[in-house]
Amino acid sequence: MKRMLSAVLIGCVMAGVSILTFATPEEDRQAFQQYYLTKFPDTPKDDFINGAYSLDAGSREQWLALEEFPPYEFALSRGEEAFGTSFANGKSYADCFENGGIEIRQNYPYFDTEQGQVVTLELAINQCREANGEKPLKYKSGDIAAISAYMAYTSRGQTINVVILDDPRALEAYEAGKQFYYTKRGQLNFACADCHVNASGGYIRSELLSPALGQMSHFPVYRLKWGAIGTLHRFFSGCNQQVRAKAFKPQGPEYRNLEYFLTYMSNGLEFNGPGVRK
Amino acid sequence: MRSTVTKLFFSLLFVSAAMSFNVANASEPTVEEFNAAFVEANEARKMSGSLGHEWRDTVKILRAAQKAAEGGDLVAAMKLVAQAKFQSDAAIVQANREQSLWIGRVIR
Repeated sequence: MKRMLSAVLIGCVMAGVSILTFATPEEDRQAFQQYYLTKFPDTPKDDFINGAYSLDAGSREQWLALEEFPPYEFALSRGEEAFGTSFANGKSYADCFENGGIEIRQNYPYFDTEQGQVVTLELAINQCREANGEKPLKYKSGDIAAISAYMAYTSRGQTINVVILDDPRALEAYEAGKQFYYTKRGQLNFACADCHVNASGGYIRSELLSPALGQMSHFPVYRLKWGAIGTLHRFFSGCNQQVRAKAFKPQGPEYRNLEYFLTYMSNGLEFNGPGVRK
Repeated sequence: MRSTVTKLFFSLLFVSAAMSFNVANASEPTVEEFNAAFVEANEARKMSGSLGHEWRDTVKILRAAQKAAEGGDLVAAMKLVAQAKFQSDAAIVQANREQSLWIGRVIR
């Protein structure tokens, strides 16, 4: 009898753990979005795409002033030019992407079943270059950020629509990204979620911490601290280093899976990249 | 009697000098000891990295240790190696703990 009770108890615990662990992506997304809507009841859902500026009127005013002459404009021009320039073989970026690469940013990242991995826009840009005999670009800043910024700009106003395929490999990538997001790392023992979930709306020194909801909508970003436009993976790398963890390689599986999870969490919001941030 | 006391005094002086020399010598690590400690700390760092939890500064501390050893300051070098080993061990503990703890932070 005792054994039977133990077995039932263990079964219940296991079932509970599996429910806690393996919520569907859609259940995760709904809970994630609801968390922020409850935490910041005065912020309209659509406004979360503006990050920390959706929470503080003073910061928003400064940001709107910056947006009048946005510092990413030069990068946009450079990106548009690079995007339109043909490769040595006569083909161009437009030949590699659906709809000629216009208004497609909101569908990235996606899980490519042939490659068996998450494909981000920046990875696709370099795959396009390599398929056409060109050298890949460096992933953190420079031309790749400019091209990505231009492609993002053409997608402004589109709804973020990341698809988690019903494929065990896609679900595994999603779960890996989720685990990464909630895992504490580095000497300071911080998870991404510590700053952008629990402490969102609070301050680290003078910096207002942005909510994770909508955070993926405005990349790449021109950061005033960088004095340049940079990619999302540069941003991830900076976050990891700030908590004194060794950063992962940009476009390595860790950051691509993280991007997959985190962008999916903002599904349904408007894409408004590129952005400008402090 | 006087000569016995004098002998005893000098014997004690000699023994104490020899002991302090030995103590000083014992606290000075050898190159072999440093190399062994360095390898051990570096292996621990690699292990933390393979778990995806290497800390940012560990490799810098190991480089500084190597530099100190090359400059002949083995005491400082050993202190740095110990620091790097501590960081790596802590990172491994962190990695193992986080294997289950992250789940409790997921928004539901």
